[in-house]
Amino acid sequence: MTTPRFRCTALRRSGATEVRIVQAVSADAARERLIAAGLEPDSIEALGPSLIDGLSGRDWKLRHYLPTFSMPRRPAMLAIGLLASMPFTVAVGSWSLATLAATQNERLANASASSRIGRPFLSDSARRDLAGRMSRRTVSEIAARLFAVLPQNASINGVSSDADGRLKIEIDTPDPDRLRIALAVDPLLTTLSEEGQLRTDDGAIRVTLRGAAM
Amino acid sequence: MLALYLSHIGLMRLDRERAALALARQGAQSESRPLTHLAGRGGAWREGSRDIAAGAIRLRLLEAAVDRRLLVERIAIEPAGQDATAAIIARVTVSGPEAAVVRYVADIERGRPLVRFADWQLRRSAAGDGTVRFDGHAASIWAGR
Repeated sequence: MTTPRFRCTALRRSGATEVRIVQAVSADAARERLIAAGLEPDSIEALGPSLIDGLSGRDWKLRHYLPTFSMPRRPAMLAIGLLASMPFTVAVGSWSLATLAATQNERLANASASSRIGRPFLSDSARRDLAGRMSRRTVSEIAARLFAVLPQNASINGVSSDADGRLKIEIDTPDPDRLRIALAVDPLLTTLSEEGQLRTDDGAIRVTLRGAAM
Repeated sequence: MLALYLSHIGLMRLDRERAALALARQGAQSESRPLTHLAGRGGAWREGSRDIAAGAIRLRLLEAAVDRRLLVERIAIEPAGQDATAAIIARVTVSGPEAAVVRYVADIERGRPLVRFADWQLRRSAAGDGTVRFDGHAASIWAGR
């Protein structure tokens, strides 16, 4: 609570007017203070509180100006409890789901095994393998192509195809150059590469050719 | 700490089991895929059981060899793997004159349902009597009825 202030106007002996602001509990007390100071007040007017008075009267602590939060005690405890129990929840959940998946897996395997009995079945790898075997060039096609271009004095010692379809052909001929020219006529046989030459007991030259998978 | 460790183990196990389940489901789907497209229309053997189909294949291989007057050294159906009961593989070894052996192979490969030779060799006889020996695996597809 601030002390009231008064604006007092006094007339000096010299004739000049003097204005003073006096803090006093009442107008009479202000008049008495001026008389005691040797002045004769003409008028005394009460003044309202000044800006500084207004500011000085406040409590300027920061906390009064910050927003305040208030959380109910029970939900807060509940949230903390939930967070703390999360690892347990995850552990129980993951183990339960894993057990469920294992059971489903076993059931599916049993059902699949029982359905295969007496029925045709191909796994993916077996299907790929069989598809490869069924789509290769036939033995008769390869033999027909060979016989079609083989020079008259040449003969086939052996033809084979491995599991991957790679060809190996052995041809006995007295003239390997003529054989090479003859094979170049066929687009399939021209892809074969010569692996080596070997002289046989009857004086012919055995030319070994190999080809990529077909 | 124990709970975190158990969570870690549980999540790892869940991941593993789910991967295995996805694989099993994929396998079950591939089981239901038709086999006939592997051999084309009329290319697969449609006998009621695998044994009957294997018998029919063996008979065809044998009859063709007898027709061409070839020496049958071996015509045997190989045992089926658990993962490929639809594949019937026969080991064939025959010998005879070159032209007859080549015609025999052509007869087998031309017929329906399909029989295809894989991993085979045609070799001149070491005796020098003009005969050749054919040895190979004849593959067929049994698709059931």
